[in-house]
Amino acid sequence: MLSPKRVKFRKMQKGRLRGMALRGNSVAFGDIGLKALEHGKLSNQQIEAARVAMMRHIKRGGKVWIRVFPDKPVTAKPAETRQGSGKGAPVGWCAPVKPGKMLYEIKGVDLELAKAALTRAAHKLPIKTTIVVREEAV
Amino acid sequence: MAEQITLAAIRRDSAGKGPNRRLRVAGEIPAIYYTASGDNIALSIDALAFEKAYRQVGTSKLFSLVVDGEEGRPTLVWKVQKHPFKRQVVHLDLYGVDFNKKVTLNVPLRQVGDAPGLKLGGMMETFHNTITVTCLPGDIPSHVDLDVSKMQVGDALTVKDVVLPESVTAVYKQNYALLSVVATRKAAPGPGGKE
Repeated sequence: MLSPKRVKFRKMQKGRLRGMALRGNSVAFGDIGLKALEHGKLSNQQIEAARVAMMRHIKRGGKVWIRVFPDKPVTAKPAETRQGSGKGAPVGWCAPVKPGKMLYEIKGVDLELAKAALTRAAHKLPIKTTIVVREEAV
Repeated sequence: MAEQITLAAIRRDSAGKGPNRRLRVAGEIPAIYYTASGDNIALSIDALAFEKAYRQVGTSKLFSLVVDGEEGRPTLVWKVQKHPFKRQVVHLDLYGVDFNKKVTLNVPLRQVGDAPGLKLGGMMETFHNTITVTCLPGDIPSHVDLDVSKMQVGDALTVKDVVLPESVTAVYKQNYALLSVVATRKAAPGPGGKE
């Protein structure tokens, strides 16, 4: 699963997601991509589950780009613990996503197959997404 | 410039967030027309008419811009700003060309032929979909053809390999690669990488 090799600080504040993805919002590498339509935090498990679902559907050939990286630590307190006593322990990583962010891109496979693969990937994600095709150069 | 596409526009007096938002709600696109000599006109263009014209002209074909029913001006679509996730054009930059002054712009690349390397299981990797060229507005090619019919697995086409018309020159500092036929797991025997 994707995670940073090393980080400066182990824990981070949650923060709030506002606005739209003003960068990384177009199909840059592949022919077709999956774009976020909502704010959300994608965990590294979700990113990996979507990738596996997509790759299993494509089977062979093609190339996939993952345009998000889970570099934000997620912490949690153990079950049945009283409040206080500091912040919980790191339990995973997430990628904060804004509407418009391109999540995955595919190239080198039939467009219909790629659409079906991206639909399967979308089912693994906690946010609404849409499939976008690169605009053909005129 | 066999058949020239015409796009109608009207001048707009209002500027700023509020009036432009009202324009977009009404199905118009706020736009700006400017020339190298310093003229600039704030315009409003019908969104549907623009999308129809843009499908044909892209960013590398001249079209005739008719402002308030005046004489048509030879124009290029210079910049298209899109909404991050809605299928909506937010703003347009239109460049009025001077036929005696060279322009530098991106022209789409088109692959011609079948690469033998693809039949052997290679995959065509495209690094650039456009090429930056400089030429007079009358000589702008609608697209540039790339002959891929001799490309084997591992071959690459660079910007130096592109055959351009005499009046058109490519702009580049480094001889960057445009296309390459890369080996895939099918082409390269043995166990592959990740699933």
